[in-house]
Amino acid sequence: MGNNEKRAPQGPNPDSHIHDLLSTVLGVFAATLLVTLKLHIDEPAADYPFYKGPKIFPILVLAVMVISSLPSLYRLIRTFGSGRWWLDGYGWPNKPAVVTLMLVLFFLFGITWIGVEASVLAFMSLSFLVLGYRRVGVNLLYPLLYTIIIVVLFKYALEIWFPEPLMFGLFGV
Amino acid sequence: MWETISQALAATMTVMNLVALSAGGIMGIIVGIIPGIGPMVGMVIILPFTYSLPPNLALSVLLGIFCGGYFGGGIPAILLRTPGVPSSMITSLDGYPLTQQGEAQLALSAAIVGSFSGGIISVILLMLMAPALSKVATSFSSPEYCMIAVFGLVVVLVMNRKQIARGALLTALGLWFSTVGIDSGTLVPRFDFGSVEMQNGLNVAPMCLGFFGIGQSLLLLERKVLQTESLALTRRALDFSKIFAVLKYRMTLLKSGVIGTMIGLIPGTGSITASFFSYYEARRSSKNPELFGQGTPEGCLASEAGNNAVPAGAMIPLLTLGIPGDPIAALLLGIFTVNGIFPGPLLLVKEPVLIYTIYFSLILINIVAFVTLALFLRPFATIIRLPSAIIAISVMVISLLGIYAMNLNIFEMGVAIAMGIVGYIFLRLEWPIVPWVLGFVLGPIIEQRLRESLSISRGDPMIFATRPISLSLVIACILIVIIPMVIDWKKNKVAKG
Repeated sequence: MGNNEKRAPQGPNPDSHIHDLLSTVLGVFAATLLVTLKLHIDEPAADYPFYKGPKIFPILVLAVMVISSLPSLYRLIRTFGSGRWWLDGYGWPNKPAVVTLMLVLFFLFGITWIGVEASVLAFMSLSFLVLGYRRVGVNLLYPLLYTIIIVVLFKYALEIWFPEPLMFGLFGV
Repeated sequence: MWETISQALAATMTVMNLVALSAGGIMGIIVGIIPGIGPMVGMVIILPFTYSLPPNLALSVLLGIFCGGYFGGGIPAILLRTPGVPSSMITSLDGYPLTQQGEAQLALSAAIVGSFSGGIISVILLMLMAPALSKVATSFSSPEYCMIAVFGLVVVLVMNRKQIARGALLTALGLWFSTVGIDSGTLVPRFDFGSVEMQNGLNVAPMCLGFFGIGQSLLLLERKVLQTESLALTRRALDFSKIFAVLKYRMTLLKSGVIGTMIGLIPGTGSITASFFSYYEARRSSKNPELFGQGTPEGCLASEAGNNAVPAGAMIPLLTLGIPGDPIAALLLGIFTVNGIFPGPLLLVKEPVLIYTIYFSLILINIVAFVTLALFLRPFATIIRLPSAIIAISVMVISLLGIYAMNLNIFEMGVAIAMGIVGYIFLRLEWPIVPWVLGFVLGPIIEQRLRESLSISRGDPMIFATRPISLSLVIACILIVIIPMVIDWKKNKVAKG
């Protein structure tokens, strides 16, 4: 099999352990919440019967989560050593998705620190750079145009207030 | 009655409403044409901007995107065999072979006429069925509402029965997310993990926007959905002689519109099922069934009429019962509640002008989408050539800023990013995500109605089995679980034996 064929997009393997692992993680999460429910839901001030109280519905849905994850837990334990971890033909983890996600987080903090204009411009330019674009039109002109549209739309047309960039305070602007 | 209709017509024909529905329809066509985006993502991007609009304008924009998305979705399916929306996959079965035979115009005419007819037929059915269902629903009380919502979730699970455990897990996860924040009944904070912001609960807009807008964009970056430099279209507009050629399939149009509407009103079934059943019914009753799959305009027409009938069909349970049948209807429910309007059996009595405005707007949206695509087919089709990375990054930026604009709250942007990660994981694993969304949206309805029902019966769950309508719904829930299981079991037995 050639390298190109190996990289050809293939749908997820329904028998991959990744599915069972995720189901189990969600089931364990629900079980933990069930066991520690008292920490997450206070007793109400008034004396409600259980069926009117705040716990009945969360208990029901968390129990459904735990029960639904049990088949996956069983499969995971029974066939753990079989090595069925291959998921699909897109790699794991995938660089464009992971790096873009990190840039999105910087974008979030950037709004507070450097302002919405610089944040949008930097996020878009860097994302296109990471995604392999090396053209002035895509890396600079399009982000610049998009930033202008965003600023006009949000700041002037919709009159949305954005926080003053903290950097301005640091430099005494 | 006539006064209501004339007031609704006047409200529909205002300049602002016409602009709103036209803008929504055109945006819907654009997001429908771009493979991997679709009407859901288009709607969640626009959702934060619509919260400040009057309800009729907000609904016109969102319904425009909803319907326009299905109009647009057929174009890449026919030209490239890449459906813009999942339900257009069925359209490509005949549309793409027609394109290969040099009959792209015929296929597109069939798809656009199908979408238009399906949309109009479904609005007429909505106008006829909604009042009747509303009358029945006036006798409903908490146990019936609780069971209808549960029925919706069960239908969604059965539709995803190949992954039933994952579907149940995601439904429950969605239901659990809906419990985060201060409990409205007892004012007790739940699952806030020590965060003051979490006490406000998780809003549907950042949750859905993160899940679909950011999650889908991340997937788009990874998958690099098909891009093309060539288009098999020589004319700028649709060839009108082809439109008349496809009008001979009138019965197929009618049947597909009715099938699509009926499937749309069943919670959780969605447009793929509508397209599928419309297509197979058209093939079953066709004089030339052997042409299906080889390239017949009748196949494109049936599939598109079926999927574009879904939006109006999905409005029926939303308007009459207050229960959204699919994620898109759930977003529309948000628009109603933000404006202090609570859909249910009394909505048709309390807000008749708004309801008729919605009906007329839906008709106009279909006309606008049809005319726009018929006149500017090639300019819209060239959207397919946009690089997916540029679309994905632009969608992310506008999604996050839209979320911030709703409540000027950076925490909700964080929620959207977190849900984007969760959405990306589930989309990448191809887990059924509709149960998650419906669980999240129906959670508060089920919880409130469950507690009210148990309060009426002083904690006795048998209340659900002692009232005729709720008992019928309990039996219906059991039957729709058991019947497909028995059918699958018989099929397996035949296959083995």
